[in-house]
Amino acid sequence: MKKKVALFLCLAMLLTLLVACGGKPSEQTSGEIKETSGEGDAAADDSGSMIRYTLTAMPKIDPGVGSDFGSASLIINLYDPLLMPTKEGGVEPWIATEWSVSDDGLVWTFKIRDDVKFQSGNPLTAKDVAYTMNRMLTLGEGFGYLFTSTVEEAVAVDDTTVEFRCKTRNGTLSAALVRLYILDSAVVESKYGEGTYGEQGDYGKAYLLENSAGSGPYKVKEYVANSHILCEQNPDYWAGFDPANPKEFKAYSSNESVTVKTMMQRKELEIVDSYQSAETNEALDAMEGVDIMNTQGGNIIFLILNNSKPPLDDPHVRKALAYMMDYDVVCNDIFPNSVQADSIISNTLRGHKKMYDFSFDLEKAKEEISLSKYKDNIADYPIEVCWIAETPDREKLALLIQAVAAEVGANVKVVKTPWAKVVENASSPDTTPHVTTTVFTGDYSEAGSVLMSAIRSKEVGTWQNCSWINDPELDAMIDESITIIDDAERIAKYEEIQDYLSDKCVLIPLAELIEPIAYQSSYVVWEGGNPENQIPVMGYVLYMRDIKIYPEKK
Amino acid sequence: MLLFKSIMKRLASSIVVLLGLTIVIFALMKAVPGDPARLALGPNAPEEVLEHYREVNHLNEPIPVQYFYWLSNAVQGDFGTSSYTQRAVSQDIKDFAPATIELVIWAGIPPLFVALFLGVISAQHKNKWPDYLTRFLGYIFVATPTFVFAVLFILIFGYWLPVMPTIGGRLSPQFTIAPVTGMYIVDALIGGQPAAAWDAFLHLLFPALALSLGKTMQEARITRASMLQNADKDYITMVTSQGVPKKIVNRRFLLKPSVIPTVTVMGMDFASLFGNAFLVERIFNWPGLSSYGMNAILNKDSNAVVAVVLIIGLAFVGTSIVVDIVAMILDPRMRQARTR
Repeated sequence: MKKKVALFLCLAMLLTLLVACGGKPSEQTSGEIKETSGEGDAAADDSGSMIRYTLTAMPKIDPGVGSDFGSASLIINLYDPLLMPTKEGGVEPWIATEWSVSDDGLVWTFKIRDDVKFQSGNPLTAKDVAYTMNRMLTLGEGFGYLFTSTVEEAVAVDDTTVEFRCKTRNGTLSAALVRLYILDSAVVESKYGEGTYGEQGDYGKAYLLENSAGSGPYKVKEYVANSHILCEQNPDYWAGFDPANPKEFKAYSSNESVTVKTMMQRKELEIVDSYQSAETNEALDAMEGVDIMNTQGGNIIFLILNNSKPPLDDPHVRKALAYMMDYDVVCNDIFPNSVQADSIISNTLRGHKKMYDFSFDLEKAKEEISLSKYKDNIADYPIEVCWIAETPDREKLALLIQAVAAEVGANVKVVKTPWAKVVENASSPDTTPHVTTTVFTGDYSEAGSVLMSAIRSKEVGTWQNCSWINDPELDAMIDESITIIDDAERIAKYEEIQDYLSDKCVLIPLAELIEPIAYQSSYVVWEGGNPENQIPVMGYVLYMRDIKIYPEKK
Repeated sequence: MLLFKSIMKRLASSIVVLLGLTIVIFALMKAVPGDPARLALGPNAPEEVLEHYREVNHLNEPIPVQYFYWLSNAVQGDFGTSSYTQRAVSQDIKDFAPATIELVIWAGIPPLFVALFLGVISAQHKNKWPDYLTRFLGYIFVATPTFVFAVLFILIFGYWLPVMPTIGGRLSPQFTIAPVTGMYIVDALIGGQPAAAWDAFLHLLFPALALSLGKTMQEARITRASMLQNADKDYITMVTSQGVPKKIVNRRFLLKPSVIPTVTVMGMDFASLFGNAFLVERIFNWPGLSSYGMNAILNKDSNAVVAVVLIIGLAFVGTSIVVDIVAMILDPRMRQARTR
């Protein structure tokens, strides 16, 4: 009997414990209990004006280092760019108020605002702009590649004038400067650690990994590696805020679907990453107060073709492959709501021109094969289609190609490859598979960005640029295009390049991706996510000044 | 003294084992595909920058030379820089290990007492309902993978019955704890913040439960089996026939030897929790060493992977030594055997 009582007591204790954990989450996080550390740190209010969103990995918040989506989404909120991208695809004055270029096109001069202060209280001057550019040139990481091949050095002429001295004429510099996020040079210099950059030590990399030193609308409040970054408003931000802009935002580095669904249900998460499966998005959409925002960030899903590997060294086989794609299935079933891409340049970027008019047409595919040098033995050349193991939706794409290829006599082999291996394979034409399914967009809102990073031979050997086109004429055209200072002329040159490429079918753009992102529509107004307002530069969809939150509506 | 000698012998052999472990893991990491320089610096980094990175990190040297560099720094506590977090690996370990240690302690030690309790109850009520219930739950819990419990707990106690505290992390945002050990419950109590300690405990409860349920029931089954096996021994029959009350027989003569196999298995289970925690850490967004190690593997971060494996290896060695000591205290015959 006593033992039964003991057992009952144990169960009662367990239930009590569970009840003690209970209560509505909103009550627990209402901030009624305010505890501070021994150092008297101010406490935060998690249930208040805070946007919380998920990422797939821990972002790199050093503007000289980070370049993926997650990193960009943080950097744009912590730092001010020299020029601000616009939703039309251009740039507008921001820290630089006006600019000019010398007659020879080699020296760009920018006038800098004199009323901007860093989060440290230091004034932002031309010296900081020059320091930031020179640091990017030295590091060569992240977005540094946008400048390393063209900019020689940056020099502060006076407090409000900075010059960028170029190695070659550079017409895309102003467009690329949306990626120059200005550092507080005094703070960074005071934080140099041991490193391999001579007098600069580690160039402040260790410090900037976990801290911000910018003039942006937000600053880092808490960095917990492998978990999250919490940022708070910079109260003295020179461009101001809307009262409904979030006071804080928090980026989580993990995006497990069950966790994400639970957090959304409990209103502990406001915006979900775009990498969730269609099933998860469906479940999120069904939640009360949650909607899906179909964002368009300029991403295109490509079939990257290895132009140097038989049988894809024949343009007719490449075109046959393009006719073998069922674009309706791709756009409606595999990547719902997407639209068929008609160029290697996204229609959100300046300089886009329609290149292709491919449709799912097996007869044309057969006709193209019959025109190729492999017409008699196409089956003897197995075509390896690689899909990246971390992106399960793309397996469907590879299987679709395989299913259709059999009907035209081609032999397609589907290969699942981990991302690290994809990157390694891309470094040589021999190891690059025939076809790789890849998604990317420009790093700034102009066609030149994609042409340089994905087409030009100088950059070949990366996961984006592994088509091994090796066409000197094409390279010369791209090189020339980016030296043209006049916007209209440069755009015309981009269009000419697309015309030139249209008959060669060097890579196949399948769909302009619409990326569904679930968010709490009942209390968050997300203007920056709306495709009509979206800035077509990676990361800007999460610019917090374009987001409003109304906690009282939770 | 005999005990001390035995421990010293174990420590000496452990060093060799750990060295071997680092060699194997280091070599395996080099065989994993992917250019670590490219993975660390991004897809568009120019070749000269990549080359500088390889040079600084000795990546152009033969693998044995790379290992030598790594080892000579590691013995000084410098495990190199993580290409994944871009920080010193020793700093990462310092930051992430306490979270996992705290999780593993709560998933390993309290469940031991639950396992012993359930095992004893089950053995004492052989073929009665408490025994059936324990065995039935044992089958289910042992067969269920840890991550299933984690997902179920999130769904049940986070989604349907929202009794869990804020999901993600180790502490609700309204609390700030001054770090001392890195283990939040302890630090909060040291800092005189009982509310924060309670909040940290609530964050820990479900991850720890998810991690421990299967092992707890396995240990309960071992205790039961051991109790039943010892119950048939002659010395138990003798003390029972001498009229010693059953309670005293159970406590003094039966429980002690029956606990030894459980303690031994528990020790190994405890150490294995360090390596097995990564799925639970990922699902609960727990910033621990295991999920760090997992991300390091995915990013071909050999410095971090070798260091994490070394730490887990150390945990195994440490635990097995503690288990040996406990077993020797419980059973004098083992002390004799060790020193022969």
